[in-house]
Amino acid sequence: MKILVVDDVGYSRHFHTRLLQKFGYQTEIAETGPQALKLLERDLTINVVLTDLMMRDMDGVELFQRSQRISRIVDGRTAEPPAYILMTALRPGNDQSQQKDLDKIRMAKEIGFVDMLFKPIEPESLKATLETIKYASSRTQIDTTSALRKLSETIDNLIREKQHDNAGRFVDEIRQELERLEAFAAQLI
Amino acid sequence: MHSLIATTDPTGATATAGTNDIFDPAEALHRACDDLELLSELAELFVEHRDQLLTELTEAVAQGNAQRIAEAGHALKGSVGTFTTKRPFDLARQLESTGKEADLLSSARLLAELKDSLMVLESEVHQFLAAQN
Repeated sequence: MKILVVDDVGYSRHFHTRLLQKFGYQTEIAETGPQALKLLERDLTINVVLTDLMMRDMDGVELFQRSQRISRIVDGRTAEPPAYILMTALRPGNDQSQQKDLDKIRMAKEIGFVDMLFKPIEPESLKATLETIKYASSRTQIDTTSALRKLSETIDNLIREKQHDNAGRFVDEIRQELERLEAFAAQLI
Repeated sequence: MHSLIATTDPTGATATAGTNDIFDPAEALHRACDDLELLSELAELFVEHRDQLLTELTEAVAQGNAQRIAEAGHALKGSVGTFTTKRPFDLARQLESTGKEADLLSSARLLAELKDSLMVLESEVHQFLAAQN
């Protein structure tokens, strides 16, 4: 899984990146929201964005909102958008000066952030959140077994019914689909 | 860990170690996933970051720039939090608040206390790391 760390504080960026590397993940970094957007447009293999809330120019919530407009078409298909995790040092309290930022945290939950982690981050919390994301994405794996069974039944029927012309056309169609699948599989190597 | 050491930083603050309300080795190691090498790496980075931010804070207080105080206080709080959530962390948090509330008198007072506290923190972190090697 590849994770993009977005934080305008160098120390924080470095710390969280090293943590993620220690957990065994690939990482990318961005210092600002606009830089993160450029990276996300270029690199559609980023699976998770770990972003700070309070950043100059563009905060973490705005980054999420703007990134939803990025076209994620790869070979005619739409790639899965990254999951977003928000980091913040803010904690709910009575300080009215934080109210605007606390409203952003509440909004983050509503608009689709997977999790909110409070700094200083508990490494185990971050690890657990990432495991949850990994598990959730593996659960959406497409059922290929049923598709193969159906294919096999169709071939049996074509042979039993002696439909030679139909079988020839079907072979061409399968070949085209296989070429498309092979091209996709080759990208992951 | 509680030996008395006086240290001086580039911005002119002095500090005396010898208190247990500054550095929390167990917490720091925990945040670095019990990896001493990582903690050592973070300690070096922290010193660089701290010096930069303290300079920025000193300038911001002198200029009366509340927003800059809040931003730099926030950044410093984040890095201090790796090593401790005790006094230096609390001071950085308070400093950030004074910036948000534009309470510049309190900013100046807190900055002086924070400088002292951070010198002790650095000293204790390095002592701890040296003792592990």
